[in-house]
Amino acid sequence: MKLKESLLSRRDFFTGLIYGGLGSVAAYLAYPVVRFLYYEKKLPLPKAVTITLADIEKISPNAAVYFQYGYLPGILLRTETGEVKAFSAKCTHLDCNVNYKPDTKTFHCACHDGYFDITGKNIAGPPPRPLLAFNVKQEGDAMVISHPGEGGEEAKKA
Amino acid sequence: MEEQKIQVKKALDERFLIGALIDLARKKMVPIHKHSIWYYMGALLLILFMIQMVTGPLLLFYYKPAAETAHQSVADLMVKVPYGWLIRSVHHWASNLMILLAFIHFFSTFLVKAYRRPREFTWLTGMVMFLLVLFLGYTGYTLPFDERAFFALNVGTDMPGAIPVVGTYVLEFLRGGAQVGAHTLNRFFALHVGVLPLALLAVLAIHIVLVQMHGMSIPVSVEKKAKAEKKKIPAKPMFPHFVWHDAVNGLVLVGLVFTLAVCIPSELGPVIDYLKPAPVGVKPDWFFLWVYQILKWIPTYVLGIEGEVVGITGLALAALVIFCAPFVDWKSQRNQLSPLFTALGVVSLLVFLVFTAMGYFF
Repeated sequence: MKLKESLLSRRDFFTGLIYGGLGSVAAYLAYPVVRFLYYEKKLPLPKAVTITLADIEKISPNAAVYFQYGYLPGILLRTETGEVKAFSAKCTHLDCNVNYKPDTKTFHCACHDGYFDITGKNIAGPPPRPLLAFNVKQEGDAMVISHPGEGGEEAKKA
Repeated sequence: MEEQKIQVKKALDERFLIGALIDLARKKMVPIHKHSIWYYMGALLLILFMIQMVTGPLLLFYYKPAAETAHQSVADLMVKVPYGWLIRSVHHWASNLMILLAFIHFFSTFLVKAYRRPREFTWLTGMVMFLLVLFLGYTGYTLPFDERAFFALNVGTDMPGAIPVVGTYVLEFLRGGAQVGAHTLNRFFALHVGVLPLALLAVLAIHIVLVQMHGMSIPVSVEKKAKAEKKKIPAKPMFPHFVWHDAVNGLVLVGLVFTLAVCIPSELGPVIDYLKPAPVGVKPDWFFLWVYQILKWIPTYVLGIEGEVVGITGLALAALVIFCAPFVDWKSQRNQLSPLFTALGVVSLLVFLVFTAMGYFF
């Protein structure tokens, strides 16, 4: 039955009430489940990591080693001239770890054949962006490697 | 909009024969009499089983099933993961209520002799599921691998060791060795999340099909009374009446589970120390209290035989008689009143209640 001045019939009203009630019960039950599923361990990136000069001396020129920067894998390159560079080892294409090739002086990602030069610039293959470069600064007898975004927005992209 | 809705309905009906199923449910009549209330237990159990099938896999997302990590992962789940405590507590309470309702379903169908011809196999599948549910409850509460789990594992796996001849083999099969240790947890985990739920699901499917094929059983006394009074036993169609009742009962049940989970969240005991003595007053979960109490109460020697052996053998024999009820209760099979089996049911119920209460309070 629907009165002339009302928007809904009585049946529509009660149907809405029942479905609305069931819907809110479902939402009450679903909310904890969704929150439960999206539990993320928050791992902030460190402000900086330090590597002693003595350790860097152990790397032969034109070679690279891996290091851990919080949850990011890093790659530390000692160029032929002795310059120290540090990048995130994650390829900007699909997150594989890159490898340094001394013969061609490039970083190579084996997953889809991506290449980066020693400045981290993407030069061949599918990678869309250069490797994320860390800031490297000498402080006393250690090299301080820090994230350019200090664990902010940049870090999430990397 | 209305037209699309009708079209979607038609398309679904064509593919899944929904209309035919509803027609079938409409034709299926459920008898109404003073024992009709027991007809509701199965659907409630099914709803609880569905809760377990959702919350169980959710817990698996964070539970780490190894001796070194199990306890910590449950602790993290309880305090770190958002609503982890709720999911675990819901799983805990749904399992407890499932066992309680399984006991009620079991005793009620036994006492109204619903196992009579042609429902022998419905009864047998029900009994198998009852054992599976108890075993699921037992394997479940060992998984947090806390102190209580450790002693439950020791006692529970030691008991089948008393079975003559094959006892040691059963014990070592359950423990994954001579002692309870890391292997035991892996076995119980595999049983709890793999073997037992799949087995339950398979038997459940048979059980439900059989129940639908045969319809609800009417107790002999009700049939006799109707015959004497030359009246027909009233009945209502399954759909919509009983489906509606089941839905409302289910909603109340879900509310109860969540209320219990919020008010009394499940606990986690201290981490296992293999060298520590059993804590004073350590007891099994409530559904095994009666077994625990009977084993405590039986004298050390009965007629020169070890009390433990007598108790376990006695319980096993009683279980066997109940299991085979449809094949040994000839009177019921001939649709006559069967006071002997009613007495057996009442005595079993009393033993269960009295010993559970004794185990709880003493």
